[in-house]
This record gives sequence, C-alpha cells and structure tokens, in this order.
Amino acid sequence: MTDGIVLAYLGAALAIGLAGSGSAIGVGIAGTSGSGVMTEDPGKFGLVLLLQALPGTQGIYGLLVGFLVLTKIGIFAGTPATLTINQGLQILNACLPIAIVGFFSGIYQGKTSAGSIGLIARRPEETGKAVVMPAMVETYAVLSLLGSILLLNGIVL
Amino acid sequence: MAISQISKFYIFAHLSIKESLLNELQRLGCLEIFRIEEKEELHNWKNVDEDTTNVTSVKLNNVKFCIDLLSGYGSEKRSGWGSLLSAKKPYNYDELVKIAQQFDYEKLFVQCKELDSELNELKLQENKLISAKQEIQNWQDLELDFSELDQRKYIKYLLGFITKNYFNNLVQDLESQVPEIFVQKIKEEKNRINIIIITLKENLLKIEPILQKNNFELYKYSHSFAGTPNQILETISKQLMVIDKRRYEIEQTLTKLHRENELIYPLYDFLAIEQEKEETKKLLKKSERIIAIKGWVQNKDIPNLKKHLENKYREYEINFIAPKKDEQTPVVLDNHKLVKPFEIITELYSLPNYHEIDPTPILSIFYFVFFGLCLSDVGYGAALALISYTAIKKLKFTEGPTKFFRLLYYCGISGILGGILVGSWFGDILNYLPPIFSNLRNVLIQKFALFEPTDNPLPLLMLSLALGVTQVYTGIILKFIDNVRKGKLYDGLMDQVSWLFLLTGIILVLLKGMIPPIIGKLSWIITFIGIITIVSTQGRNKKNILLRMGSGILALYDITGYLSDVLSYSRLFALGLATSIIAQMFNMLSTMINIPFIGFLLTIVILVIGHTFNLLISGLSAFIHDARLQYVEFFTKFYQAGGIPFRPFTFKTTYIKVEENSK
Repeated sequence: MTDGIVLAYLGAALAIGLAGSGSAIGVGIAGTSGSGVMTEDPGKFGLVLLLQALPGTQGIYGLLVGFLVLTKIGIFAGTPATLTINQGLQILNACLPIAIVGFFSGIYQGKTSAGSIGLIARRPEETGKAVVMPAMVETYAVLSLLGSILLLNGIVL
Repeated sequence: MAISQISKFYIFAHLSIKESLLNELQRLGCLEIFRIEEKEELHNWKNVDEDTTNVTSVKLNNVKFCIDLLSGYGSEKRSGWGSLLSAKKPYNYDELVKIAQQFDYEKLFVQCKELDSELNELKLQENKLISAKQEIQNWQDLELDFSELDQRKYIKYLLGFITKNYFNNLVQDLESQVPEIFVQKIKEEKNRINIIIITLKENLLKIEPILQKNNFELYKYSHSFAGTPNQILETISKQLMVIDKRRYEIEQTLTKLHRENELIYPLYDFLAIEQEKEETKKLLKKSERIIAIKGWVQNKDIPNLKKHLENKYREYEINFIAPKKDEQTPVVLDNHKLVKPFEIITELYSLPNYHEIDPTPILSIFYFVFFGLCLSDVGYGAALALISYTAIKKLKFTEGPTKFFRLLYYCGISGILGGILVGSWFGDILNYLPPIFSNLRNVLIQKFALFEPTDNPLPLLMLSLALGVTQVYTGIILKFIDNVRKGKLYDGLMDQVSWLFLLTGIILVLLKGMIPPIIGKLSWIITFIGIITIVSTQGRNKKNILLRMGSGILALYDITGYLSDVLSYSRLFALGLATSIIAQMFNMLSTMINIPFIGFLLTIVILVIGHTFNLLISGLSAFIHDARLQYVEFFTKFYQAGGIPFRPFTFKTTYIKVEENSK
C-alpha cells in the first residue's frame, strides 16, 4: 500500500464522518423539538418525521463522496491504485467541501427544521413554507457536494 | 390566466323556503357565502337569529366526545395516516338524515361519559396506590405492624430519613447520651438512609435535639392499610390487580360499544354539516318576509346553479355582479386536467391574487422537467408512477388526495424520462444482468442515454444551468407581460427588457468560442444596450440627476443575484447524480455477499431495502428542491401572491363521503 492511498482514505473518512456527524446533530435537534410537538398532537407524526429527516441528507452526500473516492481508487474492484502523495492530497482536498459544509449545514438545517416544526405546531396549514425553509440551508450542502464531485472528477490517476 | 372567473351574487328569497333553499345550496356546494354588513345596501334588515341555544353544537361536542373515547378501542383506528389513506365510506344525504333520526346517541353518550369517568377514577386510584407502594417499599425489611406503632405504652418507634454523612454521627450521639436505645439502618439508597429508632417514651425529650442537630426527617405513616410492610405491599398489589381487571372489562365494553356504534361516524359528519349550516345562517339578513344571501360563485357554476334553483323554487330572485377591481375576491384555480395536479405546488406557496397571473400552467412544465432531472432513474420513476397509479385506482380517494397522487404519478413518469436520459436503471443494475442481455443494455445506454454524468459531468451540468437560464428568462418575460397587461409598457421596457438585453449579452460573451463570430461581435453591442438602459432608467424616480446615475449604476449590482439564481439550478445535476450513485452503492453492496445458498436471499433483501430507502430520500429531495427552485428562483421574478382561497358552503366531512341522492 502506498502513502498516497492513506491520504485518500483520510479524505473518504472525513467526508463520511464529518457530514454524517453534522446530520446526526441536525436530526437530533429537529427530533427533540419534534417530540415536544407530538406530546401535544401525536397526529402530526408524519409531518414531523418529514421535517426531522431533512437534515439527514448531508450524511448521505458525505457517504456518496466517500463511495466515489473508494471507487476511484479501485477499492471495490479489488486492485487499489498506486497513488503518489500528491494524488492522495488531491483526493483529500476534493473531499473537504462536503466534509466541512456537510458538518455545519447539517447542524444549522437541524435548527431550521426545529423552527419549522414549531411553525407547523401552531399553523399546520403552512406546511409548504415550513418544508422549504430547511431546504434553503441544504442548498449549500448540495453545492458543496457538487464541488466535491467536480473536484474528484478532475483528478487524474 | 387560469384563475377561475368569479362573480358576486345576491339571492333574495321568501322566508318560507329558507331551510330548503339552504339545504339545496349546501348540496350544490358551489357558493361561498359571506356576511352582509350592517352599513350595506340593505338598511334595517335583521339578523337571522335562530338556534340561539346551540343545540347542534352541543350535540356535536357530545358526539365528538364519544368518538374520541371510542376510537382508541377496537381494531379500526381512525386517526393520522390511516384516515388519510383509507377510503371514506359513502352515504347519501337521505341516509344521513335517517341515521340522525334513529341513532340514539344520548344513551351512548351517557354510557361513554360513565365509563370515561370510571376510567379516570381508576387511573387516580392506581396512581395513589403506586405512590403508596413506592413509599412502603422503603420499609419493606421492617417486621413491624404499621398500625400498632403508636399504640405501645412505654416504647416509642421513630421512623425516618437521614443523609448518609450524618448517620454515624447520629448513632454515636444517641448511644452516648441516651441509655436505652436501638438504632437500625433499614435501607440505604444513594445519599439517603432509612432508619428506625426504638426507645423508651421517657427518653423522647432527650432525643429530639440530637435528631434535630443531625437533620433527621421524621416519617409519618398516613395510609389506612394495616399490617407489616410486606403485608401492606401484598394488599396494594391485590388492589392494583382488581383495578387492572376492571379496566380490562371497561376496555372490552368500549371496544364492543365501538363495534356496535359504527354509525356514530356518519352521525358526527351529519351534525357537522348541520353546524356549518347554522354558522352560515348567521351571515344572512332578513326583512319581514324576505331573506338575503350574499356571496361568491365561480362563473362556470352559474348555469348549473340557475338550472337547479329554477327547477325547484319560484319565490326567489338571484343577481350576479362582476367583482370590482379593488375588491378582495376569493381565488380558485381552474386549470386543464393535465396541469391541475401542479396546483398543489402553487397552493403550497400561496394562491395568486385574483387580478394577477396564475403561474401553474408554466410552473407545471418546469416542475415536471426538473423533477425528472432530480430523480433521474427509470426504476424509481416507474416505482413511483406505479404506486401512485394503483393508489388512485384501488383506493377511492376524495378530490384532495387524488390530486396529490396524480402529481406523484406525473413525477414518476418524469423520473422515468430523466432516467432514460442519463442511463440510470436502478443505478447501474443493467451491468449486473447476465451476458444475454448485453445487447439490450447497449441499446438502452448507448442509444437513449444522452449523458454520462459519472464519467463526464459537464454536459449535464450545463444543461441544468441552461434550464435555469430558461426559467429565469421566463420569469422576467412573465413580469413584462404583466406590466404590459396593466398598461405599464414603459416600466416593462425599462425594468425587464433592459435586463433581458444585458443577460443575453453576457451569456453570448461567455459562449464566445461556441457561436459564429458575427454574433460574438453583436454580443458586446447587446450587453452595452443593456447596461446603458439599466444605468439610465433604474434611478428614474430620483429627482437629483447625480443620484439618478448613482442608483442606475448600483442596480447593475443585481447581476450577482441573477448569477446566483442560475447557479442554484446546478442542484438539478447534483441531486440526479446523487440518486444514481447511491443506487450503485447498494447494487455493489448486494454483490459483495459470498454466502452459499442464503447469500442470494440476502442480496435481494439488501436490494429491496436499499432501493426503497433511496427512492424515499431521493424522491423527497427532488420534490422539495424542485419546489424551492419554483418558489425562490422563479416566483420572485413576477409572482404576486396573497390570494384568499375560495371556501364553498358545502358538505365538509371528516369520516365519510356524501354522495348524490340519485345513486
């Protein structure tokens, strides 16, 4: 195993781990406020679950980038590529957008979701708006996913 | 565009037909009735004061009480998702009237009330017993009869609590200062110790200051149970069992009542309909012989309304008036059958103002295309389309859910088309098929798939951005049309057309390498026309010429807004790619299993769970992000929201469906 591949692994691990942690925190924040609302009205379970699930996408994006990295360096094919340190660093860098943005946007999307859950508790008819607010935060997770994919795509092995 | 035309109407009818007329109007369900104000045309008309005792609403509340209680018992749950998905049972109106006459809800109500209060009483007793149990458990190791503690002639028993760090101190103090004394630890938990002190009554005065000094907290036994703690605990658990048994009996009775009184649901809805009628009556006015009804009606319903009334009554008069420009007119969207489901997206944001444009027809095209790019998988699209189609056919929904499932159906079809375009069939499942199918695979991928986003992402990314440009342009053009429609042609030219010039110019400059040189030269000219018109017009409401120039130049800064709007559409590409890569991930995971015989089953389980998960997550993302693009990037360019929805006076039911009498 070459040194470069260690860096590539680190990249994949950061993407999956940090974005996943962001989502976990976000989903947790939204869930706490969701349970609060459901003590009043358990009938809102479906809506609350939907809103709670929204900050979960960052984790998936992170996993996705990690998966792309592993495919790129040929782990699944069974023949890991020989990477120089330089190539390894390139891959590590390509993972950073989704790792960093995924972590922070997951948390903030969780807070926005919690707010939206509060909104539907009082005004159930405004569900549409409540669902769109957290999606505004997610925009940046999507953009960073895009950044990571494009960066990865540009790396020549 | 497709906002239904609405007229105001007045109906004047003889008082004698009031009830029957209201019934008929409610059945037709095409009118929104609203209050006739005092100061309006009809001077000195009185309110229609009836049902001041609120008989209906009291009844309704009672029936609601029964339903709330009963619906918790028995197999049929009627709450949450269940009620949304299960079909409502149809009744016709005459049946409902009959049910209301025959159903003896009073008896049921009394029964429910009794059972409910007994349940509450049981709960109360149970709580008391449980707290007594916890209290007594602290003294479980004591072999003394609680009821006899205070009946000894010479001996005094002191039960109580003390904090741990005082315990040794207390024992020392007591044993050194009081001659005949016995101190015993009964139970120790965390920081607190339960102790018993046995001594002669004559020593009490000596003991008290010591106890006080060591923060001893005296325990007072306040329950009526007799016997040692163990005996008491036994009594308590016996009583708890009795309570449990009784509760079980009550629950059985309630389940039985629920089964026997299914008719309570139609009764509730019938009463709700009656209640709605009573509420509506408060909006009407009457003179000595005439009743006046005022409201809104969709123009397309007018012929039908007239026909029905003419067939049934003679003693009435109806007038229609077109709404005035400044009047708050309710809005109902009326689009072609294909476009109708997309009204949901518009309504989620907000209805358009009555005098403005309905964006739904144009939105529907964009929404359809964008959803396809976001989901972009043939398998998922097909699953979505199939599920929603079956749901529409098999479950008899009311109008609302049908509309929603039809939207999902269209979204599914759009997902199939998007999937064909990028060659994603449950991700890359075609690669795993046996070699015989390789021809099929090649045809599907090479002939139909125009993009290969995983290998060469740029073309699809460009397509996404191009679609973004298209939608932003459409938004600007719609605003221009709107301005022209309102007679503000110059505003339209200065605010919208100028930007169209500038944006087109910039795009042409960016595309320099790909277009003929002639247009390349033109692009600078177009850009300059744009810049000049924007700089010279955007400050036109400022008096000072310098300020005017200043705001004109500042307006150019809006270009960043348009830039970020267009870049926002890159999410179409990213979400589409995410769908197919997650799918590929699960496909790969499922092939990694190398267990003989059962490995095959495990593979299938992973595939089913994985793809279902991906369908849910990607479908949800596609739905929300697509909507967001419409709301944030498209609507902001032209849309005037703030319409109030049209709420017809009709049969509003919760549990059942009212059908036409003829059936």
